[in-house]
Amino acid sequence: MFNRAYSIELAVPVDAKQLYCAYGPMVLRRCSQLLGDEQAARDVMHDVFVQVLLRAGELTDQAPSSLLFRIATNLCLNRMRSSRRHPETIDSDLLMDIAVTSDPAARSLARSTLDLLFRHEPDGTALCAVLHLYDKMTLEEVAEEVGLSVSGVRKRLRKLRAKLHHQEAVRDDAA
Amino acid sequence: MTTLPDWLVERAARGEVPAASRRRIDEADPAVLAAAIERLRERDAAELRAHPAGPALADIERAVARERARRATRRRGAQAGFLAVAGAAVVVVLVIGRSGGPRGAPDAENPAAGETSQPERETTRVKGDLRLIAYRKAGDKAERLAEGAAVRPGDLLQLRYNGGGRRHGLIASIDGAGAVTLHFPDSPEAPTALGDKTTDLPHAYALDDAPRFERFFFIAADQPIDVARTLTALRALAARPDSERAALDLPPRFRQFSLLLHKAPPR
Repeated sequence: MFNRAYSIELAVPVDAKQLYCAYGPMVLRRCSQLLGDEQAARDVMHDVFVQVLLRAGELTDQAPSSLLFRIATNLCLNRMRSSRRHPETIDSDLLMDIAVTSDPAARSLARSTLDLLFRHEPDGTALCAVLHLYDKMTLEEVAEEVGLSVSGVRKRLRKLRAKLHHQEAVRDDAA
Repeated sequence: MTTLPDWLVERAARGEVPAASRRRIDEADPAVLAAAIERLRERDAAELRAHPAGPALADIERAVARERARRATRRRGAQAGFLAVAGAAVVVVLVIGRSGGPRGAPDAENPAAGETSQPERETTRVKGDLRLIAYRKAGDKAERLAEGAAVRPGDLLQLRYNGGGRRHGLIASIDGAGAVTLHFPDSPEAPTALGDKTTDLPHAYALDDAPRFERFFFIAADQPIDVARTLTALRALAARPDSERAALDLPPRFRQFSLLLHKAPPR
């Protein structure tokens, strides 16, 4: 049982050091996992915390690990996109890992997926695809992670698959 | 037995397992999970020993300050630009008005003329997880209370909630004395409609001396919620000896979120 009282101020200040110590190593591991390069991962981790501290108000609404994981993933994807524009820095094996399944025959499909993800797809679809294909999240987990309904996630992934099939068909016709 | 992915072990290590993943955690081998969490903690500690937070944070805070300054400059520039454009627009309107030129009425042969084409809008109603967060007043700050946090009689709590896209909701709590308190809506007769945004309850609550625990429930659905029936279900739960942990029995169309706070003796 409670006694009602006056409303209290909820402008919760973010303790940057506490946040960094609690989540910094996790963010670094995520970036290293996606980028495969420790220095690049440290650079992106720095950017993740800059973004988070600039958006400190959002931390009051959700578990910090989820927000940090999403920002880290998006910033890593951005980094990979810019790497693709500078071929000398491409780590193609790593890029392939993002979408490759255990089936070796899926490699060409994975290459198409990457092209779509990095060149043509909006960030939201790229994030859903990475979470589902690479992190092996279920559709429900992806939906919860990105704040969409399951049908919204399914719709995005379906559109992505349709584009892939179209691309494959065009390539087959050309061959 | 399936292997848990890295991201889920990271969440488990921080007590932030998302609702959609709880089953995977429940089905995991507890010993394997505990060992994986322990390894992560050791890696965390090693990383922070090798690369202490201080210098990295100093860099980060400098970059944040630079970015804030840059954004402030850009906002001021945008405001100045807007004022200049608005001023020019006023002049143009005045000139056109006086010359009897077009006044912006739709072209009868092409009613859409002048409309800009809009990109196709996402029509999926966004549904995320329910969120109910409790804060405790600590001096002039508000401290977020994690699941299982200790609270004391007299603590002042404020609740913040977000229905994750559901249209209706109910927030109530049970305590170790078997009492049920309705927090939202304001009364059993009031509508249960939720807004789209994260919202604070209009009142904070001072905890009384009920023993053992306070457990908050946030229940949401897409249809209006029968408050009286839900309170009956909560009273039935509160009367059980295992009310601290037992599930609240509601039809599957309801989504539930529970937040348990342990009661510590008064200071």
